[in-house]
Amino acid sequence: MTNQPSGRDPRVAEAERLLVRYGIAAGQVSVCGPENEIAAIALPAADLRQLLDDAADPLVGELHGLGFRYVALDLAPLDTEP
Amino acid sequence: MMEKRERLRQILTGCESILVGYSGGVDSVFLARIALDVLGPGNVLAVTGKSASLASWMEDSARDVAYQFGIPWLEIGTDELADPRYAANPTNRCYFCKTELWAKLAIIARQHGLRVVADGANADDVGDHRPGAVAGAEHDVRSPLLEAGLRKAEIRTWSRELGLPTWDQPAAPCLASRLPYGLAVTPERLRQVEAAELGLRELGFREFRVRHHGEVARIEMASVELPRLRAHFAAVRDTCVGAGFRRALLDLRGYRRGALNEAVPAEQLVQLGGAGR
Repeated sequence: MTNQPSGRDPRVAEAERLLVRYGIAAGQVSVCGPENEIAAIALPAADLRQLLDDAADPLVGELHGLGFRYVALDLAPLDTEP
Repeated sequence: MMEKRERLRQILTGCESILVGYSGGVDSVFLARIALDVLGPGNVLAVTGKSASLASWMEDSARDVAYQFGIPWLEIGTDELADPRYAANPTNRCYFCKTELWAKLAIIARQHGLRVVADGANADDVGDHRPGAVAGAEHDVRSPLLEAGLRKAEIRTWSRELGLPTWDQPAAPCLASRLPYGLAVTPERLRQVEAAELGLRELGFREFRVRHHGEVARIEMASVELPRLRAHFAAVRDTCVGAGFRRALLDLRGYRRGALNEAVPAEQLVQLGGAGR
């Protein structure tokens, strides 16, 4: 098991609500890893840098608080062409 | 600091002859170099244990520095991956790896008439999760740097004075340390991590780890690397995909030495003691 579709893990919806609350409206969260231990955040290419600033630390802390061992940014932007 | 330097020289003099477990990292390179100064080339041998867990750049560093400074050097094969207790990747994985290594090095030391087998543990390692140190104690391995009370920063300073190219080398644990405990250590997974990290090194990154989570590469980058990362998102991703991962993710908490040990229950931690253990 490496990926759960959005909605099956109840943490996903809450994580996406957190993103919106922190002003990141276009983000998508998926759960991955052998133990579903990672929250992977996918953003449009133009927004990737948003999460690299220290200002994102409180958001990252809250996402960890949902029970994810790791919170990570997907380096494949949402709007990448296949 | 001068007192510690003198203490180290006295410790090495007392050893009379020494085999150094030589990974190519800052500490073991430094120890081999000082031992060479104190004891002479006839009484020092640096030995590198090679397996799929040894990163190619560490092997290159070990060999190149040994040749550059005239350190007698030998490379041997180790086979810890064939031990299912190691391959299962438990929290004390390093115990099985170091048991294999020190057993082989003890034989080589006897063959070469060397009295002491030593590792590069230093005073800053005290308190870290170090199950390999139990194997060291069982094989009577000495830790001269730790015994002298030398800390990492002091070793780096002294290394720089000696002209050692490893003086500012980032910490470099074996490739198996990139796999979360419980995820089996296999040659293929180690190859993937090595390929990804080698690719990122070629992009100019130095302080980072590629952690293996099955199909996912979770990358920990030190904050100093972020400016470079901002210009190389796609290249970093492509490097990891090229190494065999399906996804490349950037851990938003950054690079943390020993991060995989954060999930180890306290009762499973094996902490290195201080000098005189």
